[in-house]
Amino acid sequence: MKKNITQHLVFVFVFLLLLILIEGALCQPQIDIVIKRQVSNILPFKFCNNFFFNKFWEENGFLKIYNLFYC
Amino acid sequence: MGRKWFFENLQSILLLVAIIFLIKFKKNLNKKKKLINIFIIFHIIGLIYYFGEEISWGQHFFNWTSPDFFKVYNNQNETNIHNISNIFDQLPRTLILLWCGLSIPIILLFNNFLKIDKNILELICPNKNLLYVSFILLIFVLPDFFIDKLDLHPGASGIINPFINSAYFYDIISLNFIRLSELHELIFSFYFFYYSFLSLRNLDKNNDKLKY
Repeated sequence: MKKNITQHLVFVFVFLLLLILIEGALCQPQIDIVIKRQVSNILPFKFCNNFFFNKFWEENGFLKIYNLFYC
Repeated sequence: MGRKWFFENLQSILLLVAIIFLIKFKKNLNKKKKLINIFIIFHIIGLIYYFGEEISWGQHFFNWTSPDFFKVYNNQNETNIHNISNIFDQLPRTLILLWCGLSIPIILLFNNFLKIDKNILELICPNKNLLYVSFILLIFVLPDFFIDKLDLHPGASGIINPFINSAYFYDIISLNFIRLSELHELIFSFYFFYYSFLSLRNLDKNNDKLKY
């Protein structure tokens, strides 16, 4: 069935909601850690690993979580 | 400019367009249908209140200093009344939630058993696609509602080990890892925008039919 503008509006809105959900989920510290851990394993990132992570976690007060996984 | 800015401005735009559509709808409506006219007038007044409160009656854009009354009684020192008392905030919010989430499923359900007047049916449910928006709203509201009412959430999540924390689990399934109330408001705004768009479209179609 050919979709009309009314259905397209709903699809666009649902897509927007999904984007908001994904963006919200990625900003979670718990998910953030997993992503940053993966990123830090990539060679070029290893050079700045100590500087970036220590500074980032200290500033954000998450040093304890960082230590839990890295120490 | 952040997430909050995006949410609030998108909401404001949707509400403003909804108000314009409904005013246009009211203008083109048959004056003899008094009940529908009164309903639409209340709808417009309600949306103007919602829109005005959302932008603090313009303070968000023009940044004026709040009058002394609001500085004393308003929780956020803004020129709006919904942060003064729950009567102006939670009560309208609950009514909107019931309207947006349940009006369409209920009227369509009743329509299967009772013969509901076509005008009333079209007034409440201008198009069945609106049902999708109601379902989306319920998906975002019900998990949080049940976790709250059954008191399942253990409280603030600990930060030592977030992976094995039940608070975190409930935050995820109730979608509380984002600003849920802002998201609800965005869905309300979209519902009203979509409702007014569909109502106006129906009216135009009916008027076109009458012409030929």
